[in-house]
Amino acid sequence: MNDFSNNGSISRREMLRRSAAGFGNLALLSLLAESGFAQVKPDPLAPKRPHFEPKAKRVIFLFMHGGPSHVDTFDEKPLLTRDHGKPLPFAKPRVQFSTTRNLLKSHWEFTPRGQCGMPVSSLFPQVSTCVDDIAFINSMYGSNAAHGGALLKLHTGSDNFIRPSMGSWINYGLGTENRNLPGFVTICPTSLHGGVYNYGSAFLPAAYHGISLGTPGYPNAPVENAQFRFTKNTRLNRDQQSLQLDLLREMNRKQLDETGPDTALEGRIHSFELAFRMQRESAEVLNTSRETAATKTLYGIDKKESSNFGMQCLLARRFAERGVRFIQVTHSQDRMPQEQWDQHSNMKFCLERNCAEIDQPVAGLLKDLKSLGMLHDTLVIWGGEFGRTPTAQNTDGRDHNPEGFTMWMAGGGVKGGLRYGATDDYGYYAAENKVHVHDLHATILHLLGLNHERLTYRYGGRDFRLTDVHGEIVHGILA
Amino acid sequence: MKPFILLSMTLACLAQGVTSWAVEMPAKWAFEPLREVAVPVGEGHPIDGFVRQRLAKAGLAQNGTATPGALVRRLHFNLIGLPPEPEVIRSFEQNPTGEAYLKLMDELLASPLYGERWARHWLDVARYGESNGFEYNEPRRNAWPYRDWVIDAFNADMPYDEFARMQLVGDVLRPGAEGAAAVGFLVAGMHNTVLPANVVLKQQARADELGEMMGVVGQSFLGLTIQCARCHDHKVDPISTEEYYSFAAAFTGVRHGERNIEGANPKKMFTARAGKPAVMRVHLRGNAGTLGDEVPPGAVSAVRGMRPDLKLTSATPDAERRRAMAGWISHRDNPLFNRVIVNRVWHWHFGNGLVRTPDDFGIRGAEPTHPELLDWLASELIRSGWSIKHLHRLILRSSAYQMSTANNAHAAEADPANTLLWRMNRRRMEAEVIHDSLLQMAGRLDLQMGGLAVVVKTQDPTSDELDRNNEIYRGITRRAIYVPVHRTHVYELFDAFDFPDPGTPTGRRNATNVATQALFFLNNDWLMQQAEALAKRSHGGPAERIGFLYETTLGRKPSASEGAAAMKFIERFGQALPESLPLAKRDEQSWAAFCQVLLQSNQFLYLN
Repeated sequence: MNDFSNNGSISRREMLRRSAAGFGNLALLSLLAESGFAQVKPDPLAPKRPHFEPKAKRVIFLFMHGGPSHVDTFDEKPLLTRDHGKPLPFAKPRVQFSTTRNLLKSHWEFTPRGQCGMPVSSLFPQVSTCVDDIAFINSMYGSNAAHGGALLKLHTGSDNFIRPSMGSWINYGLGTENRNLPGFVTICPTSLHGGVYNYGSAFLPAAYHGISLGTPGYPNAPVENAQFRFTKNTRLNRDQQSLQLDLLREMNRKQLDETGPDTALEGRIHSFELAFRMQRESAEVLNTSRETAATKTLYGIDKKESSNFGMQCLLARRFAERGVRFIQVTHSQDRMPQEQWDQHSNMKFCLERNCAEIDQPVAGLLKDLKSLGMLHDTLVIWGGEFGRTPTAQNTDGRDHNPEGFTMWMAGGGVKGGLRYGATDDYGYYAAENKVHVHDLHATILHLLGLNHERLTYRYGGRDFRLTDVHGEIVHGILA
Repeated sequence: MKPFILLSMTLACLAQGVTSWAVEMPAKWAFEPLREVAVPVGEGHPIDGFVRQRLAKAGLAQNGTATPGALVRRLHFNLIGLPPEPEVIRSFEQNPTGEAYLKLMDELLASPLYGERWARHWLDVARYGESNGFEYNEPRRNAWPYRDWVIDAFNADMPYDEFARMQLVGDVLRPGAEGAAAVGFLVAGMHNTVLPANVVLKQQARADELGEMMGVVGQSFLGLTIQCARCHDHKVDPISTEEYYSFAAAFTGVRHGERNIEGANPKKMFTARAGKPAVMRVHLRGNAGTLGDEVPPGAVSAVRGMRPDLKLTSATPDAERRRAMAGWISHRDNPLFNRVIVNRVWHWHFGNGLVRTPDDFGIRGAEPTHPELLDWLASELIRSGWSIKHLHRLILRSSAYQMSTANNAHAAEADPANTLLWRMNRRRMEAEVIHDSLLQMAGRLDLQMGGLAVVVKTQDPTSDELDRNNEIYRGITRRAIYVPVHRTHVYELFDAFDFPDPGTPTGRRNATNVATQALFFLNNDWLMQQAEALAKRSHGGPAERIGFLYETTLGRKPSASEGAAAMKFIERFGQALPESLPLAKRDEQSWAAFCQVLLQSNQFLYLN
């Protein structure tokens, strides 16, 4: 049978037979299960034990498509304000996207917030009330200055080749807790810059592929109306489908009686039942009509500017509650690039608008998770594919900057009220306690109880990892 | 302590993916010359001699022959990717002789539908796509001549060595439209068109481009992951970094792009553009910024019986470089070249190769389950002048191919993965087969061959444009191979059914079993349209209609109880519809709903 298993993997039964050399079969099996080798077909999404006790059980990744400016949001640079209009006093990178001019100060005031006194700009009045739950990594850096490469790097660990995405790796490592829903959901993913590869499973089995919900089509296609692929039937209602399933079950069972045990045939019978349940459960999870007005206000759904992203965040919480392992929420709208988080120009207007769209929803999500007692085992990650230059592009813009930028994490075993690492005095380069994208991946897997060096998959003759041959865990942010 | 040590060793072996357990093979078997093997005597077809020899050692036997109905379906789906018409099944069932089987086989091999089916297999390996992927996913509206060339090559039974050489250096061997189309192979993969301003980074991007090309050349024809030696000597296979750059030097004159071809249609083609090759230097640790020694174009020394020295220098022009390398790759004495293709063909017939890692014949690849058979087939291929159709006939005549998929508790216990070939593997239809079969059964399949089917928006599509793209894809009634393959948004039907990623060579497709696929069969509107059209093709009384629908979808007549269950379903379904609907409408919808269940059934999707 041509099944999903990879070349190196073997069935439990085959394993038993192969190892029948008279020594600890069962011990071997459990060891294999722990090392992720024993793949029991046909349910690749069944929950699996992590390598060690996890802090986080699930991830919500809030992805800001385009590259949000760190020096205008979470990385205050007093010298940038002081030296506004002067040239950068040190060399710009040899590799950059295009040339920029002199230093450009931020339009926005920074104020120390929370007990920790973390300075946050006036762009985030709501998120700044949550700083005591957040670990800000000010020293992120990557290796690709173009959106396409940087998106793929952040999502898959590779900017040159098609590799499984972070969410796929995590589902491969841990399976999922709710078998009526996919284990990896991505809400309103962008179709640009690698598009589907950013949530693809590449050579991992397709069961680990992210399932998308909605498009970045707002305001033309609000997420409120979004459905999972193939879950809507324009002709038949549930009762009529039940009749079909009855006949189908009868036909399939009869055939199975004739063929004898067959994992693929049995698996498919199972998958129809699951699909039928998923149709109902996904309709239920997408129906937010029962959420209270207070909750909707908390997520900013009652305000025009934040209603769509607020709904995306609320759906993320609903998926998290139901055991979905990895949920990505993308802020990437159906507008011109510079109006996303890619402010090469017109920064004052665009960045203010973007922040207003996400500020209340993000803060609402953190507060809601906290009040539901879910924040401690839900890892929330915020960030974009890179940051922006402290030097000016056009009159009011900044260029791509993978040399130094900020991402933050909250909950799920991360220390709150922490500012980790730093860029130089102007915010161009990561300077202290540098954290590469590979290190971020290693840390995320660590929080989930997975050793990034042991989470491997054999393909085309070698073992692959999310972190390739890199990755250092950022111990400084762990609670 | 002793058991523990044993345990660790077992784990280490598993970690290295050593999946073949019964035959001890020397580590570098694939690099050794083909062996002269004696065909086991007295066992009928040589293939069965080899297979039965191994089965007998394990105390197992081959299954009996599949039913005539199953055989007709198997031949059709394997060779042309479409279901047989009910008359064809009936005629063979009435006269299931060896002669009739061979006649059917020859008819199918002679059909142009064969090339469309088998070209798609090769396009998986060639990671063929019709857009650049990456940052700007520009469409390649003129890339399809390569696809059509592959179809024609299979139909014409182009000798495989020539098939390989044409894809590597066809523009030189046969200047003009055909050669230009053939070398589309080299540049069929992804291409990053957003280049950084910096010189070193530009060189790095170029090195990546070449690395991608080498990955495909190495894996497709040789089963070698040669690209793994880009940054360091290959971790397991005997390929040094110098050898990688030497190998790549043979292709360094090739770039992605469009060419104007006089007298060709289309005049402008997306294909390889040859230019003056740069002097190749080793990139230390894969870094284009730190260059090492100059290396001349050359091949790999690990392949026994072949000289790696191509007698080329850094001054040799592109055409000579590629011609020499193509000659080396496709040489009759190159054991990898010959073993890899017979294994691929075997894999596409059986669902598993004799080597279960068709794209990796290196040390970490699987070992052959039937090494003598593999070498015998390779020698037969060479002897036939590299005729792929000859190889098909050879395989299809064997009992191994004609076995039933029936279960056998004893054999299943001893060999659950069917490594020893005690039965035929039951296989799930691929995405294209689902697409084409549904259209054919609905009476809508358009058999027009070649060319550009439709144009969709690939570059920065808005969500509305993405919807429109899917609408355009759904409207295509031609065979699936003509649906454009646009990286990052492949047609949703294909995407759901494991269409391979057009970014990496794929000799072995996944056949997953996920809920999205069941949801497709439950809810997809396009599928329901085909079910409705199929229902309308059935005529006469209820029993006659049910008989026709069973034969068309499942290739057999229903049993009495199946007929009764169908009748009962149609009646109950009609009752569940609103009474406000006219009776004729209710009848129509009930039959369509019944057809949909036939299509949902495992018997439809899984081929015996």
